[in-house]
Amino acid sequence: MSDRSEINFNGIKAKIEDVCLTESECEQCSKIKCLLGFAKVGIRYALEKNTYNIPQGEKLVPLSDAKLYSQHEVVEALAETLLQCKNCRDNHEEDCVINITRLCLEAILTGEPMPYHGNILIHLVDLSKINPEAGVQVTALYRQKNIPKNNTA
Amino acid sequence: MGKAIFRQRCGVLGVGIVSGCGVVTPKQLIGLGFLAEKTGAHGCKMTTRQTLVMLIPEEKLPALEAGVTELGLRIGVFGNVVRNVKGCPGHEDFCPRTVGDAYSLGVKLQERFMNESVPKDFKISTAGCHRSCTDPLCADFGVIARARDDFDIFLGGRGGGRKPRHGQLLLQGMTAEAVEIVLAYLLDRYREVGEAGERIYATIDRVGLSYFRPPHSLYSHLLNKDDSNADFLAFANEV
Repeated sequence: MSDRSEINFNGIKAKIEDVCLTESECEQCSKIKCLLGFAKVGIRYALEKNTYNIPQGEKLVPLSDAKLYSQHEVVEALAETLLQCKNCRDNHEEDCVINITRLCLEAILTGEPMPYHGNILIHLVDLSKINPEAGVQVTALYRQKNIPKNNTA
Repeated sequence: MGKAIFRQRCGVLGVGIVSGCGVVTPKQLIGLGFLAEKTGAHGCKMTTRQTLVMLIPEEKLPALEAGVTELGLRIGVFGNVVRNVKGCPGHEDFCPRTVGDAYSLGVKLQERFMNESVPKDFKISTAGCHRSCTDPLCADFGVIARARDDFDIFLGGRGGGRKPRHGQLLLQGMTAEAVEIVLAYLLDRYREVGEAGERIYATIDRVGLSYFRPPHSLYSHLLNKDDSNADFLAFANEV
């Protein structure tokens, strides 16, 4: 079974909250006009509407947002997001909430929307080509967190 | 053409029973169980096209037909007619992957078109997302949802036979209502030019796909403004 209920939204939500600059820095939350805000609203929408599809979400991602965030925290959030990806390959959906969250976080790291081809490992290589430092960090964190639970070695 | 009733090798009749895209209520399911017992059914077969074939002694046919009707179900159709619709449970209450209501569309198409006469059997399949669990590309008329009330139409697929093939993309961005109009139109064209016993893919090979493409004015008033993200935007405003 690999449905929405398998996705650990709360894990992503917590990491994204860590990235958010909050109103203490932004004065007023610009919600979906901000990359982080868009990711937050998307996850909340998925949870409350019991879906993982954000209709036309990919087109709505506010790529013009250029706020600066802590790279360390963005890397943490991105690794957590990628961990929830189901490697849908041919069935990859651009409007999947995981894909949208990934897009937002990567746009912060690289300044551009990165296409995703449905496979995490290939994607991590792509990310490392654009932002080698972040790519290495995300890959290391992803590998560290993705150790199967029964692997005690 | 006729009812989907086939004599089996052992002499009993296999009777096809049709619901809306293979979905039955608990009451219908229990009723079918009782009917199977009452008619002395040898067994029931769940088919690839979402019907149920009940294997019964011939003399029990009238009782089965009456019972099926009473349950709000139908006896299947066979021959050179539009068959029952194979549709995925792409409905807001069912499959979590669906992006458009292919289930309701499938039920509607079946209610309107099933048993219409055509040159050769005509199978319809609807799917609520690109995963296409119901194989719409292998149907004579296949529909795939791309978003809410936004469907692509494929024509001329053939899942079996010596030369299976996928349907060709006929139209994109259709609403459910437009799909219905398009299907009515192209069935009329098929009846006009299709030779007896000629499956629609073969008619397309002969006369071209564009012959089956309706004039834009026929459905343009039914097309959606692109507001599939309205719900998300409203949600974003509220939080």
